[in-house]
Amino acid sequence: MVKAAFLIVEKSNCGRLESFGNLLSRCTTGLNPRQNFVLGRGRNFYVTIKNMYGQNVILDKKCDRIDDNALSKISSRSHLSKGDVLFSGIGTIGRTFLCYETPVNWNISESVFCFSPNATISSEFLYELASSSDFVSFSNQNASGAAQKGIRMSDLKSHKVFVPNDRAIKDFTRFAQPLLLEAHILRSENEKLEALKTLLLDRYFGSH
Amino acid sequence: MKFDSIYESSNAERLGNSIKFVKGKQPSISKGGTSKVYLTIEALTSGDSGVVSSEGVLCKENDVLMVMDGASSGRCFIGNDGYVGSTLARIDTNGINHTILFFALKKHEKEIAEHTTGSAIPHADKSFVSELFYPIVDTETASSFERLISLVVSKRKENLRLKALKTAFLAKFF
Repeated sequence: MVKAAFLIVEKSNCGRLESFGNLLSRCTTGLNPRQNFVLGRGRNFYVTIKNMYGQNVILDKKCDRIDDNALSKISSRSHLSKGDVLFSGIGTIGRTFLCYETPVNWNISESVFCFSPNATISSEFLYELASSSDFVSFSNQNASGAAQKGIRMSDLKSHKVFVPNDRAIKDFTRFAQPLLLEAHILRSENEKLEALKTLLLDRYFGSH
Repeated sequence: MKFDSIYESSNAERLGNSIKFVKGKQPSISKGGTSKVYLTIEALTSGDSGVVSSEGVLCKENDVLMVMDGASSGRCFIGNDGYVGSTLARIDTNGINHTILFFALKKHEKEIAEHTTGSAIPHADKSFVSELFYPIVDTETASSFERLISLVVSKRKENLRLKALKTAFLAKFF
């Protein structure tokens, strides 16, 4: 039996098995440069798997840059918006991120999947589901490819997951929402503090 | 007791004797003690504490704290390191996963706040809390909850470290 990440015990009769794709209103990816755009120009960030770690998207010097035109092209493909869950699907599989805000200056590469929950589940539940060891294990075990292994979107969509009843999802969401929101607020504040730290360090050592 | 959906989906047990309330103390400074943040409600909600203590009831990151006195009685916290404030209690458990206990108490936070004792100043009712249920979950479920908590805790830690750095650096310039 495939288990979801929480509230699930074997022999449970309070949920249902569902194809992962049936829980999504949209499942997209970003776009790779190829003939579409060139990296290294502009002020926007191009997020790949290497910029996803610690359940964060890190927009720093290591993150490639794209211009507004490229950002627009990627956005029209990924439709990445608030409440979506990112999942790294190629190379290092299984890194996740919950978008608490619609991104304005970054978007994703083709190796990052973007899941949008449908009305039957919450973003928080989808995030937990995609982060669960079962889901990540399935993705790794079913990855294919010669140079870089990746999980096919169709395989993920047909993967059966355990979905608890609506009230359990609501209970979990009520618990997880403030925690994830706090993490999001702290993440934003920490990014500003990091920038300030860099500035002050430069001034401090530059003045000696 | 309403036996609602979250417990229907798994086994559940009463908190009963599996929990013990360890009330906090007033802050005190003594020689040789290790200074730590004194965890008041303000410190827990805003993240800033102007008070430190070198003695008291120790709280580690995975300990669950509950407000025992005052208007916020029943409110629960986790992921804090310091000495427990006098209006709070650390909830020790006998075999219950801390994050699952936190989840169960959070779920009933409103009910706990509505079932207080005391006429002038409300106090959280320990016996009412003991009557509540907590879910028995598998390790994967528990680790899922732990992941959520640790995500927030790591951000809080980083935030405190960066704020301390900011204060130290700004003091050098101004």
